[in-house]
Amino acid sequence: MPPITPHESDAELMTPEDVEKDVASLTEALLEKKIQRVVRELMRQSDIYVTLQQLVTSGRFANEVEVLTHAVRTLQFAVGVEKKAYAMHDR
Amino acid sequence: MALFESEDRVIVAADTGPLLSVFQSGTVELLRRYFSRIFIVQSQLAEFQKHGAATEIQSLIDESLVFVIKNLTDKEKSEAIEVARRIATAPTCHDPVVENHLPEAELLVVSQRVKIQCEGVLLDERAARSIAENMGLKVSGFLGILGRAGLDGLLTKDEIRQLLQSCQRQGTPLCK
Repeated sequence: MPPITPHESDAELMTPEDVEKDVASLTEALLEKKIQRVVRELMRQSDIYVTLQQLVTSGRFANEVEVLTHAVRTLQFAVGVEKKAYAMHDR
Repeated sequence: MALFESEDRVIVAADTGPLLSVFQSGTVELLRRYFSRIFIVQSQLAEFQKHGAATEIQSLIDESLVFVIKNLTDKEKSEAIEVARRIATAPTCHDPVVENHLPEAELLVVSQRVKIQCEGVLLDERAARSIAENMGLKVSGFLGILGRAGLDGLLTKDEIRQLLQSCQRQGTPLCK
């Protein structure tokens, strides 16, 4: 099979900064996709969706983002407490 | 655990250069890992043919990873000529012939079509990259793919170095 020849062998070379930007740019696009998937999967669970709406309409939170932020932080705290409890139990 | 699941793949428009580097380095699997659709334009097919990669690009078309956009509107054609002119006159460009930049110019123009939902462009030529960035497009390239694969643990630093050396041996020096 004949070799694949370069597109532009005399093209200006990429700098390390270009490479960093390239990685960041691809990462951002992939992250955007991941966020869309996670939100879609979350909202497809009807019980979660309804609960989320109820929490927003309760007036305690400004919007869905605030509810989810609060929920994740609470869970993070709870997991931390649970970890500490297990560690103490193991001593 | 990798930061991204295999379903978190994006839609891009790809210039000929990054895809040739992928073929030269044998990293097609990374395209399947990170992209759900890759758009190219008809005029690039002649470039793949010229550079000995007609079979490789055809096989990606056959597996519905790469899609060829065949018809540009008159408006897109005239926009592409303008973009090609801007690339040809950019300070980092070594080829002042406007026609030689038409394939990537056409690609940049069609990547803005709302219908194809393009989330970025793959482009390694510096002059075209700066024009693409000015057009508000998210730009990455072959090195961005390798770098991401490194972060995701799909390639080691040594493997990346070897892949770059392999491209260099085949006439494609990529970075300083």
